[in-house]
Amino acid sequence: MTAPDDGRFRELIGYKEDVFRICLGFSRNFADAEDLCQDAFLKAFARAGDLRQPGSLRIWLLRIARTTCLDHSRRMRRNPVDLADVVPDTAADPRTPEIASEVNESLRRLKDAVQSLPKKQREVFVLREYGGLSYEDLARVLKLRPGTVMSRLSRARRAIAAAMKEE
Amino acid sequence: MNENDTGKPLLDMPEKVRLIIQRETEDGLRRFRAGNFDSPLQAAGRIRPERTKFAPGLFRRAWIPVFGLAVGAIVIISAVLWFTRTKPQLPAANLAIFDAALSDLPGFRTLSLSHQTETAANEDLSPATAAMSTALTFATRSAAAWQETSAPPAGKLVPRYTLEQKMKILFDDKTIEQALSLFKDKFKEV
Repeated sequence: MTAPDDGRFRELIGYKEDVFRICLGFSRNFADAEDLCQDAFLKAFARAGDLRQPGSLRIWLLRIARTTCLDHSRRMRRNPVDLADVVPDTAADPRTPEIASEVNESLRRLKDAVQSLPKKQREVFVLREYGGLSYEDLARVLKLRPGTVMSRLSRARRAIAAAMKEE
Repeated sequence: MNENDTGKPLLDMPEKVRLIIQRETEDGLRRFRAGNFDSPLQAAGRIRPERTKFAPGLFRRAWIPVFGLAVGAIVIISAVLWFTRTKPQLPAANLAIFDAALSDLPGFRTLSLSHQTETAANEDLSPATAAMSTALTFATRSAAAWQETSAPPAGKLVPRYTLEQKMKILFDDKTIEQALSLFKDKFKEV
């Protein structure tokens, strides 16, 4: 393993919010998302010497974040957490308790819906809706054709909408 | 397709879901930015903290003369210590050795006995030292006599000695030579 130089470290850190958004989409709460983000960066730093195309650093990093989050989801599926963990910290929430409660309930339902998606649809949905990736970037991260990406995304959206409407 | 790649609002996504995701993302990013995400990575030794641009040059410029002075001081101190420690130490003069050496010379013993009365100052000295003093007195006298007798007349360079003068000169020279050779041997032993 070759240690990357400071310049590459800085460039990687510059994408920390992109990585965090993806981790937030895959995880159930802020704390998990932050931990996943850190794990993803540590993995990236450890493998930065192996990167052969420096121009695709962002895509490479997002791919690592995706893998890290999917591994985490697999572990969580074996050891499911209490749904109360989904509720964010309300102490610092400026909204009224009623509104905050309603928002948190909606968030919990969304998280459940995302978790219930098949893996292939879930990763496309999170990368697109949370990570804000373009179709081209989605195709590069997932190593899929853009048509495949769009069809998976479409199915995921329908499933989420249905789940939110049912409840 | 009902959306483009620029991330515009999703047409087939319920507005409620879109707002939930947007709110969650904004809240999360606000907390994420408030925290110090980089510090654990820095602590893990993966990233060095940002440094001011002038600091490295300043330190480099300051350290060169300091380092040079330190090395120079070490070299000088080492050289001084080496020379002082390795300087050959001559044996200290020991009067007992002189006395013993001179006493072993038969000539000195004879001279000492025959000229003890010449110098009152020699009474406090040991026999060997007195003999040495006597020998030196003889040498001085011999030299003076030689100068008197060897003062050449005009045109003649060869001095004329009496037999007694020649013997005295030879005796004195031989005595001094023996004394010096004996000292040399004694110093070697020390």
